[in-house]
Amino acid sequence: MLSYIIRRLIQAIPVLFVSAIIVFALMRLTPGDPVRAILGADATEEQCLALQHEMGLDQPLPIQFFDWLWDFVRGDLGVSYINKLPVRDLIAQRAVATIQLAIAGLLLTILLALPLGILSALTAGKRLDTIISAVTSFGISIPHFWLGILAILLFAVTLGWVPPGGYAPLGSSPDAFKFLILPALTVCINTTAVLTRFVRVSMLDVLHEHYVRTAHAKGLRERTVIVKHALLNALIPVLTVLGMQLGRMFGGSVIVESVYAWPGMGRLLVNAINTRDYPIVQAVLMIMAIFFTLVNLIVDLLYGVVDPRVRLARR
Amino acid sequence: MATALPLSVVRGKTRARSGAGPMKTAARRVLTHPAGVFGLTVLVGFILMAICAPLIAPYDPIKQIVGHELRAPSAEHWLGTDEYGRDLFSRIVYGCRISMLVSLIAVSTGGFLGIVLGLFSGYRGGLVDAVLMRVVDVMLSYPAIILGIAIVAVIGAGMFNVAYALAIVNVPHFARVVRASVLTQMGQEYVSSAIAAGCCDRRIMFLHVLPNCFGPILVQASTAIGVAVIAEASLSFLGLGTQPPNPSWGSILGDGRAFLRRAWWYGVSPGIFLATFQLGLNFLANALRDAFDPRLIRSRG
Repeated sequence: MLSYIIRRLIQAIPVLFVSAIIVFALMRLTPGDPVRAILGADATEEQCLALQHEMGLDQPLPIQFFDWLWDFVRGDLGVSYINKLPVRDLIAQRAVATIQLAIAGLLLTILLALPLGILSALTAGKRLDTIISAVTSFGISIPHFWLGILAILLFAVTLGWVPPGGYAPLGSSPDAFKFLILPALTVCINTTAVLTRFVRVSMLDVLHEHYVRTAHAKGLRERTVIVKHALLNALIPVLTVLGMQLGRMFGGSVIVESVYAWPGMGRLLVNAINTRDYPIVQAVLMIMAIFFTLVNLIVDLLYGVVDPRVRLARR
Repeated sequence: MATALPLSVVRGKTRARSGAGPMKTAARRVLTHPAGVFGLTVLVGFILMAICAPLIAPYDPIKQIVGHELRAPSAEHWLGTDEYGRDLFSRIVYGCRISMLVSLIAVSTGGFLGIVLGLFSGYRGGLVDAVLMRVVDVMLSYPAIILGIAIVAVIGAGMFNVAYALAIVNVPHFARVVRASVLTQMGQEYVSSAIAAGCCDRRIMFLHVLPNCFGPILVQASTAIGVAVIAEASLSFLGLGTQPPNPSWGSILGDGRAFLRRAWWYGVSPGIFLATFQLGLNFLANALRDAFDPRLIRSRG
């Protein structure tokens, strides 16, 4: 197992390195001179050259890249062009909100998709299964931001149960979680629908296996057969899909944060793009790249844990 | 005397005897699949709406009518008006043009590049394949919307830039799908016989292998059209896509977000079109997948 973990970790390094090159290249391709962006249009030529030298922008590109990468690894993410604050602090403020939303969305996805998918598989072909399948079709198709608007209209504007948007840190007040409910439900809808379908198919596959028939035949209780024999085996492929969907949910959260005025990294990124605050854009993109690589890595490792064949076969 | 082979076999027309080729069989399966019919109807309907926008829309989509601000849906304005007194139905009909145009550019350009890369990568294998697929892996590890935002961050906001960004987003998806099906085709006998017959690589790739990868490409394309429309709307919703005063479904929804208390119809109506289109495309993609891969029908239980 240890060698499997090490092998996977080593494989993640080139992926991260390529991501870093892409992010760096993207930001070097942007129109506009960062020195001008910092000093303003009325700076003299000497001032520009001095700052260019100070920022290392007169160095060859590969050296600039490794400087940037080294700074990034040490946690120095640069300074915002707009408000001159360290990017690291700006991101740290926003990351908490985004992580909250992502964890809430992930938990909701699992709590909704597993029971719904199992229920759908156990009633395959019956009315309940048809209803669940129809609902998941809509769940896959509905765009996040429209669902968010509909939810605000119904639950905030018409019923007044929750605020239409905004954020309060969890624990700061008893009502803080009310801000989280709608964004979390909105962000999990697509992933829940996809996962529900996948759990259904995966369960159906497993339910036809010989070992499930054997378990039935030796007189085990229905619940034991479903949970211990069928579900645990059905979960193996589900895990990969969950990992892939986690990335998609994170992408959706960028939109959902804008719908609900949720002060997370997604909104930070969008605002930074609109104001051409490239150090922030660069840092957020790189952090996201690391996040997605980590998610893929964790999924792979979990895969190795639940299915011993994987860690043995892929040598 | 040895029995002669039927002429059709000699001429390589054995397929004709079973009635139809795989393409015709697949087309018939899609057209008899309720979800496929629904999906095709939606796709054709929206394309027609985009082409005939001037005939359908009762008003100029960017003309502001003073005194008609934020009117509720009525016989005069079917879906109400926005804060500048512009007719929302007309804006949505014209917005359909932008959605269709962006997805057309994104899927055709991205699809073409992806198909060529995937074909090359799968056919050649070796180092080229390894390097290309690592880059594809990295691109696929980002969700489409984040990658789209990242590219727009570099090339700037705007409708065409969004289309180009989404084209780039599509490349790895098509490359992956085509490479996978090329790899399954490479073991087939017709490829060996083409090589034995002395065909050049380009001819084998494009005339022999590629036509046999058509099914997965079509499935991927139908998914990609839906994704591109949603992504364009999402980017416009964030203010990074189609710029005012041009109507995009996403930007109408984004503007309507501010008026939910006073004008509910503003934030609702564009979404109905967007969700219907997406639903239709998902159904079409499922129907195509079933049509080209009969094994899936059985495993669906």
